Amino acid sequence: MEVIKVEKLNKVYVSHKKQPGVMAGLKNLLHAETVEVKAVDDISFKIEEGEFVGFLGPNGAGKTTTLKMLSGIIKPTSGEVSVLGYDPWERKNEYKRQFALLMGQKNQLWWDLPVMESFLLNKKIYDISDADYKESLDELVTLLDVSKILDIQVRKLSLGERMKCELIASLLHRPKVLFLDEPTIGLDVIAQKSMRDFLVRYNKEKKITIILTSHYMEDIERLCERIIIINQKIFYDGPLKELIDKYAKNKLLTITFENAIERRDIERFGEVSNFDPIKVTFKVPKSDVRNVAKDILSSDLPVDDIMIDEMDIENIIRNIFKKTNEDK
Amino acid sequence: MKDLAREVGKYIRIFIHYKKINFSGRLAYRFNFSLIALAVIFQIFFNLVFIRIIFGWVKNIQGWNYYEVLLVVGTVMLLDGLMWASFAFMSALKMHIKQGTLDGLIVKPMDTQYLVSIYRGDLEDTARIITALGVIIFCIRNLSIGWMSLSLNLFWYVITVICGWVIIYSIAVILNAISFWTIETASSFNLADTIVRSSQYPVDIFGSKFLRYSLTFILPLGFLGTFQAKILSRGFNPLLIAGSIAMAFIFFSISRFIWNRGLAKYSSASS
Repeated sequence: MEVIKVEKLNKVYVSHKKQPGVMAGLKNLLHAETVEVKAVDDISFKIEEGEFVGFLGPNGAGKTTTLKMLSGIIKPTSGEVSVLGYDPWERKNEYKRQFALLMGQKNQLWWDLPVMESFLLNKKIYDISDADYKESLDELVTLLDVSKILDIQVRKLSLGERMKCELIASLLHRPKVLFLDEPTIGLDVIAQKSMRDFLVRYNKEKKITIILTSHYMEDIERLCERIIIINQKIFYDGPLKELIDKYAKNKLLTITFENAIERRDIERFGEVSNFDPIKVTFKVPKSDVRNVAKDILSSDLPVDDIMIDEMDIENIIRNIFKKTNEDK
Repeated sequence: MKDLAREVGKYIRIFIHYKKINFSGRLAYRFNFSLIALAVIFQIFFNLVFIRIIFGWVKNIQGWNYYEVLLVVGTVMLLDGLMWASFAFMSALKMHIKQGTLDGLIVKPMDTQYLVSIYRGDLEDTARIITALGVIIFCIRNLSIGWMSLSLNLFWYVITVICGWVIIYSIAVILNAISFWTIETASSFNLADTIVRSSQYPVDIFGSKFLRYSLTFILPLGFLGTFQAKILSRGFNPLLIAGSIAMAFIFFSISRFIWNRGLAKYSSASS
């Protein structure tokens, strides 16, 4: 069942040119120069129920703007948006009750009060029954392991604990759609893993449709079967694996040696991406990697260990971004 | 009809919940609260003493005797207190826009203007309300109004005080809604911005409280309090009552219109 449908969506911002200085500020009052910025350029995509989609793109690519248009916060310049059959811009309460938006850098919880207070307020605002509330709360608190901190003031919590609570606050009303804008930003490794594990499980169990924007490759790798690369336009929409196959033409071949070797001894085998006297990494085209490995192994070099890896996805994506910027 | 009643009930319950949050949050910083409450009491005391002294010299001003004038002061105090305790002059709006947390309120299934309005409420102004009520009761006892007319006058008094509350609220919305436009252009010469900002943060309690109080005299609070007091002490006045109700409707409609325009601007401009 199709849950999200976006067709030829555009967003153009008109902003005033601002120059520093008092004279410029005065001039600005009388005659403001406007500048048009195209944040989102003719994008289209469809998302089915239960999908977990990653939005990837450099800063300023339009990821947050797109999420805001899907939430009804920002009005599109042109194009169609439909989520759960509603036009988000109409801001109907029935729609609002069925989705949640969590922005990683913005707090919704009351800073000076215990976490529970913010939960109770959401319960009232979303008209959640006592029974449903208790069930959702217990489940979420157990899954995220935060039962001990519910009575602590939000300002005393660590960032990781706070984000978990923000997540609970947005899921109490059991939304069918969840928009996550960089939810793991600033979290330590353990907290990130914790959140990812939870999201994977929650998505599978509740069949909730999730869109996630992130800079962290691990988020995308771990969570999203499907990724959309956006940089004003959509440059890719499909499974992550295919993306790697399509854009990553090289593999990484890492050889560990028993004794130290010299650079000139191994340079002939291929492009060296990282050299260490006992550990060398080659960047080898996928088609050649077997042959290169065979050559090295059958040579008289003291090979101890051999490892063949995908190109660092981070680098792949970075190259794609560079390419998309050039293509614009 | 039942749905409407349920909605209204919900809005009232949420209002109470928000005030509980505001007030307990305020109490969490005990020293701060005591200091501010002290400043409020001092301010009230000063005003009452001032009136007393004036009326030590004159028997009445323009036909208004001491208790009638005191009633005006009490009513102004009541409206001021109601305004700050219930919606803190809508000062939450600017904070939300600057911090980007307005989006979090827009996606909630309740009227955004309502959520922003009740977001903040200053507990110490309940001291103002209580004192005002005390002053009003004191005046009523000392004015020779018969029981029959008193209950009738009180009824209209309450109605017109509510109208006054609505009018001040609407003015607060209009003044604060300017933030929707000015935050974007960010010129440094923004008068309304300065006015609102200086009445926003009671951290420097003495400085901004006096400014807040003087602000309520610049705005039509002065004569708003007068209408109500007149009705209570001098009796039923259909012109004033109709006028108050009409003003309340007009101001509220204008404020709602400006709010919606402002929100639309925010929704097409912010990124």
